[in-house]
Amino acid sequence: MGIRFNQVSYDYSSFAQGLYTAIKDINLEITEKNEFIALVGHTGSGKSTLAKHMNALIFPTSGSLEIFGNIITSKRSKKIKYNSIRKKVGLVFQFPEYQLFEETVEKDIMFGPMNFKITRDKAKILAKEALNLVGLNDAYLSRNPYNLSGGEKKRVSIAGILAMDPDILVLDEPTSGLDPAGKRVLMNLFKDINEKTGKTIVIITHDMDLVYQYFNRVLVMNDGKLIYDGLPEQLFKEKDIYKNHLDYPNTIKVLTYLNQQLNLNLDVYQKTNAEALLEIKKAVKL
Amino acid sequence: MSYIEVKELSYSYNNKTNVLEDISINVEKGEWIAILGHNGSGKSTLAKALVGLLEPAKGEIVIDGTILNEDSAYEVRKKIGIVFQNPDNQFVGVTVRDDIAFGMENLCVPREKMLEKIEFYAKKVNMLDFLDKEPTNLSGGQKQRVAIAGILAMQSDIIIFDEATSMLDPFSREELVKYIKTLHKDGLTIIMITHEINEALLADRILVMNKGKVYAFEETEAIMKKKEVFTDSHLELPVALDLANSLEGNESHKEIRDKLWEYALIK
Repeated sequence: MGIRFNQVSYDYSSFAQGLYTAIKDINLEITEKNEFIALVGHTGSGKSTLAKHMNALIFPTSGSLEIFGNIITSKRSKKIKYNSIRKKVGLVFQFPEYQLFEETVEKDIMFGPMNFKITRDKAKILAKEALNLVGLNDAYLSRNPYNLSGGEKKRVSIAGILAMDPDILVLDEPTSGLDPAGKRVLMNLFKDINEKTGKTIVIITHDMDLVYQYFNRVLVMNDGKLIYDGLPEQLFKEKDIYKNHLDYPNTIKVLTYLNQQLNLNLDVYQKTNAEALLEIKKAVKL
Repeated sequence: MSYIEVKELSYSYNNKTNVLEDISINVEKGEWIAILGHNGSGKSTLAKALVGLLEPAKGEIVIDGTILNEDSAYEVRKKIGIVFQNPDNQFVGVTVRDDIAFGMENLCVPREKMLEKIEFYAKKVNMLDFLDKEPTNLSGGQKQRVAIAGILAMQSDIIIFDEATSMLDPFSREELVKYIKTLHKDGLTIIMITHEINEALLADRILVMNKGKVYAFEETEAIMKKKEVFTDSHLELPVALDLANSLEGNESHKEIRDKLWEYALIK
């Protein structure tokens, strides 16, 4: 068992907005192996708050979590080694490229493992492995992170988390700001890591095309509540997901438009352009 | 003479490889241009050159008849404003009011007039109720609108959006795009750098950059018919047009093709 939420709620208090409930009564189970999960919902729906619970970065106001056997409640417990939880569940924030700070890529990736008391020599080896895992070669080790492109910086920052060898990886909008090709490269990379290492990966995203094409489980947050947990297909078959501030994937929208305008009977649930094209050609032949 | 003229512009950061190479483009007053290109294609460098933040190694930029150089930069910058990707990188005021005032303060606009203008432009970008709010109380989309108000208050009539929607969630993004449409209707010249192909479709013309060069610069509909421009530049066509292009050459698909184009070009 990886992570289990039991009736978890979290209240924020700030000078600006006073007290408000960011997530409410969350029940959720994430297995420690082989899961590839999308977490979606509009801004302010509670996605990021939910993610921050996953490695005990914040504690629930009420309810409890079980993370790799550790019971997390509203009170900090002396019996729990929070550091070890953070090693098991790696969290990558939005725009991690802004958090690179060392003078070489190697040092930046080594920073995480060395924080967990791994020797310099071992950390060097881990850094190299993690860098290769994100698709960059050894020549990058000695480079200055500031001189890399946006996509490369993103990969280096992800390598920094991978070097800690977490069992579960949680990433907050890892593809935002990338061009379409860069987006796909990164998504393929996550899928690849997931398949090769069996690590469970949770990705926060707004991109429904990606959700439809890459994931087999999607969590939907709306107004602090978990309102859907299941297959993407099933979610998009619901009549009106707009009311939950979500959008449909582009293939579904385009094929639905054709059905309405031309009185066709296309099966709109096609994940890729190639599949959509086949469906159109099939219909015209009939 | 065009409103913006870029002539054989080249630029390099380290005197080695050119980030921009031999760029020549003209933009007319009131036009909406979208600039597409892969990460590192030179889009943002071009934007910085246009507002005089970078000095070209070669070539020149002429804005409304004035050559952009060290002496003219101060005057030219009044005409042209830029909204950056990260809303937090350009919010300089303590409150919305301060932030809109910042540009005008630099232009030494008299206080009475400034107060009047702040209200006027805050209202224009739908932020009148937020004048005394601090940036932490604003969403990304609201911060971007405040940046626009600051630019409008300086009487600029060219606005560059450098991936200004890329850090926003889909709904704030839609809201900002809607707002850009009204700016265009008001006659402003819009240059929009984006990765979102659906946003680019709203432009009059699309400039595709590839490895620091102008790969194509044509009217939106014309360029969308050229699949190779997109594949060569590591870009993706919108789903509807990718399908339309794939169905090209077969008469029995004409009706569907027309509907796909119609879907893509709904503005």
